[in-house]
Amino acid sequence: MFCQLTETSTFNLLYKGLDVAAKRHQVISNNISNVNTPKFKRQIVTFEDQMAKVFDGKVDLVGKRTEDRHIPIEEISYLDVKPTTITDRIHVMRNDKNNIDIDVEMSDLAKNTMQYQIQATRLAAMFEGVNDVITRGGRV
Amino acid sequence: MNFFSAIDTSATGLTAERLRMDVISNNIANVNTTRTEAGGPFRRQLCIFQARKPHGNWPHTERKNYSEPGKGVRVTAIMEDMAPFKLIYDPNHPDCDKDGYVRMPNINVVHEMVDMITATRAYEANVTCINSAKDIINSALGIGRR
Amino acid sequence: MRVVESNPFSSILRNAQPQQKTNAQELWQGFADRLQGAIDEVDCLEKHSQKMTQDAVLGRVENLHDVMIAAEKARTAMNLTLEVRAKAIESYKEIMRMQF
Repeated sequence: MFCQLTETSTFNLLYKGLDVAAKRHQVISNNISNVNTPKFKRQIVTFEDQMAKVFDGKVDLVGKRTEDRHIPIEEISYLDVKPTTITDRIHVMRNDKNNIDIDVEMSDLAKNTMQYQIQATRLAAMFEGVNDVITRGGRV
Repeated sequence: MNFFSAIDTSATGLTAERLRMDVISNNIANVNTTRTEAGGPFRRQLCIFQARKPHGNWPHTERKNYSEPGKGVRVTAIMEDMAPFKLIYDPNHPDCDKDGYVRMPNINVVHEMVDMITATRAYEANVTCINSAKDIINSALGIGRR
Repeated sequence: MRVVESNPFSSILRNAQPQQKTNAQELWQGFADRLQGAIDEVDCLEKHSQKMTQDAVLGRVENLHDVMIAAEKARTAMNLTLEVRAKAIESYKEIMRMQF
């Protein structure tokens, strides 16, 4: 019963967003430490595009399931969308085969930190809102 | 993985870049050294960086799932640059050979300065990473604050 | 279709449907069961929050916000329980004050 109090879709989305931002920070830190390592390829975390599609219900191809044993194709709830770390091998490389651009990483770092702070602040405000209702909702 | 692991990763970057700075300073200091203990002029040194894997370097961890980011960087070796020495014609130098040529270290000061700037910039970037990690942890603590 | 946003309190109220039973004994039993279930849930949340805190000290937790969110959920649930308890006792006293 109490879980329903906090687990609205916005809350779940914020919670997932925090997980993603924390993971992305680790990946960016790793990229920045390895800016001078030969043959190191940049890694990024993808999440927002997939989540936007699932959350809006605009998933491209949904497999029809008539049995439990049928393998689900793209039919996932927004709670199951996970961040994925992919290695970016495409972009321009330096002579030592390292493709990390320090400026891109620094700006990603700044954006990610602010994103985390936004989500944490909103989450705190949601908790405060529920608590406000609990303490003052019963009074006249 | 601990929630401070991002700070550990940045710390490895700081250590590696600082080591690189030490090597570069040594190279620049020895730009005119014609005698070393091993005989012959000073050879340029360089750092070999290698990325740390998330589950360690043992062979049995090769098959583990690499959805985790790596743990930063490690300096595996400080090796000598096998480029040929510079030959300067100076017959009056005590270390010259029979033709009057002195072998000077294979260090290009401009090259070393550029490397030094790169190392400094990378060091500052790692420091910014650590500050961001602190900001992130502080905003997580703000979730419970009234 | 887009995920629907639900009001947190309405989902609790929706579950508190009026019972069809007319037997007073069964009604009270149902209420007592609900109450016990709620108290068990608060206890469970508190234990989870304490376990997360211990894991944080022992270095086993991957993300700090997991710890904070577990603590906040436990605190909110406890808050709600305390308020409901206060209201229940207040209404009991109100009834006892009634004179016939």
